[in-house]
Amino acid sequence: MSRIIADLKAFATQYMRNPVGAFFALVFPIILVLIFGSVFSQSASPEVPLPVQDLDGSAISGQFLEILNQTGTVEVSMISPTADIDDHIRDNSLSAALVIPAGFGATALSNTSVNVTLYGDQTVSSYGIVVGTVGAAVEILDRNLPNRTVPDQLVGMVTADIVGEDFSFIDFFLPGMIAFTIMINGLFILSALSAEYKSRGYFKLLATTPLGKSEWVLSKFLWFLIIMLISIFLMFAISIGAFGVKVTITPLALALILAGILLFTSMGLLIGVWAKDVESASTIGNAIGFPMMFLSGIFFQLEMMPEALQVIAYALPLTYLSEGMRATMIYGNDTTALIDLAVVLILAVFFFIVASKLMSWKEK
Amino acid sequence: MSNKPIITVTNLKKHYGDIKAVDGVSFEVSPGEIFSCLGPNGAGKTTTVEMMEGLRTPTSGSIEILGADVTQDYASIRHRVGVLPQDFQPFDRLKAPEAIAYFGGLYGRKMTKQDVADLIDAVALSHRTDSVAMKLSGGEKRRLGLALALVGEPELLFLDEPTTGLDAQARRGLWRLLEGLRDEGKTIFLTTHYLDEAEILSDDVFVMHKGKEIARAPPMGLVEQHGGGISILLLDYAEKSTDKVEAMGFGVERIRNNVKVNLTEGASVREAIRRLDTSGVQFRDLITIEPTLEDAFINLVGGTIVGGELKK
Repeated sequence: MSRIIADLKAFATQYMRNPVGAFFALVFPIILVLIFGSVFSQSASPEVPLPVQDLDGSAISGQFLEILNQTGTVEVSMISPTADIDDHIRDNSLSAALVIPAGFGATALSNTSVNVTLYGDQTVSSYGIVVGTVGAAVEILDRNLPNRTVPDQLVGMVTADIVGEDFSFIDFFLPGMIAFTIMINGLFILSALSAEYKSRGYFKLLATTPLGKSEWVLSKFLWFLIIMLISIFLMFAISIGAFGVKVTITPLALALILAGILLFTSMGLLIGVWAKDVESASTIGNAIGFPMMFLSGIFFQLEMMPEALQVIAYALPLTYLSEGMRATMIYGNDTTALIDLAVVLILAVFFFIVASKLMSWKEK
Repeated sequence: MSNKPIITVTNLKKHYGDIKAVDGVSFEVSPGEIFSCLGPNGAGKTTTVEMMEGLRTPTSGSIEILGADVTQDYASIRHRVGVLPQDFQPFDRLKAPEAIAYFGGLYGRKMTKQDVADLIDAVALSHRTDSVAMKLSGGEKRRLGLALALVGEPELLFLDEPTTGLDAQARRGLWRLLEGLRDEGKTIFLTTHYLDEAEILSDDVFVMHKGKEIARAPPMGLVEQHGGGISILLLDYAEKSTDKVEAMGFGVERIRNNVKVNLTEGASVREAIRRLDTSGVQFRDLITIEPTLEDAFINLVGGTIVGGELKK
């Protein structure tokens, strides 16, 4: 028994001294519990954002908005009556919007049927909540209409698809998956690789050859570009074959892919050259990568998350890559995609410069 | 071949705070020679060679290699120099031919399959071409490291403790290889803590201790200058005391049941043997022992090197 205890003690010491072991045993589960706990405890009574364009401005439309607000399931915000609804939806990459038509109140009061139009994205998880809420609000308004003389339902709801093409969930998932794949490969693999090069003396060995530091970095960038393009091709091939995806790579998406590879390879390089050893590099990579994986809107919408987590999400580079990819590939919203591209590029250049400065092949 | 030094190091220093890792060493290396930097661990050998390889920046002093100022412009001579670092580790998942082809690419050398095979053959790794580097033995890995240092067909080789950790047979194999390279006209700068290695291989030995130069000469020169005189070993010495031998004016040392008689420098060996033979002292036989580089090292530094460490 004493031998078992001695062995257990020694193993426990070694295990806890290994940052990777300690991270996955203690820190990672807590991160997951916090993230998923926050998301799903909130989703029991979510407040889904619902921008509304009130073209009527009557007492009846005001009453309808009040009913919507009282449901507690949607968070109503107003769209300017002068805005073109299609442009507004595209420019803001909205997944839902409601339009109350001009003359809405007067028409209903004259015992003539009238509809509100719900623009929605059927593939996002909050779509059902919005449809149910608006439908219920319409019924309540309809039941409470004054001066009603006909038994039929006067106020109704029609739906319109937000995206031009008939996209499915996988179409929306794919751009996020591409961003996710770029992140894990660049960040996780290059951090471990550069830490290994440092600790095993490969950098020192290469420093004695005609190979320059910048050439080494460039070759890694090129490799990740090649492997990512192959990976993206395979993702598309399988998604088309198995699920019939319709989404395609746009020129802006390609620019985002290039910028994303530069960003995450630079971040991985920075972690690798800064960390003391391979294990530390992996731990730091995991500590940065895993929260980013779950908080950047890859697996569920940012809108579904509590506000505090949304603030964190917008501090994470992966959010801009995945959002930019979706904006250009799904919504055709090139303005948002360009802003996201600019953010990714600025971060990429920043991390590239810092990593290059920190990376020394020389001894002190 | 020009006799102009291929390496000129002048008053080279590397200080880390109060620690003087290298403290003002100067030397020159001629083309086509094996120049050994000999010393125990911590003598400053690796720091010196890494400054010469452009991997460390000197605190002060100058290093000129192949006509270039290394501290300013090592890049201009990188392609003319091959390096085997002390802590060399091969790329685990590459096979020897792949690693050689990779380094060939780095040196801008278009290598045919035959070129690669010739180099593998030169370092005696032909039987391990199908194994990834992680499966090679310690000696094989060092030989692969040497092959990588040779890929660029360098004029000058820096080999930092190339045989450390190798068994006796592997060490001798590598020595033969280095002698062959010298015969081809390559200049080899070698660091070592093996006294026999320095003695057998070197044209010139530079003895370092605590960051400073202790001596510099060809191995036989060091032995002649610092090795002390020849000794005579009296085998199976049968007397209880060594008084009689000491009375003849010899230095005496008991080694188990033998007695080592140390002659003063320049003393006649024949005369000493005659006197011992006729003294009536009882011993079975005698042999003469010539001083080695180890004797010179002991006299210079005050100890010998065991396992890389200085043993007083």
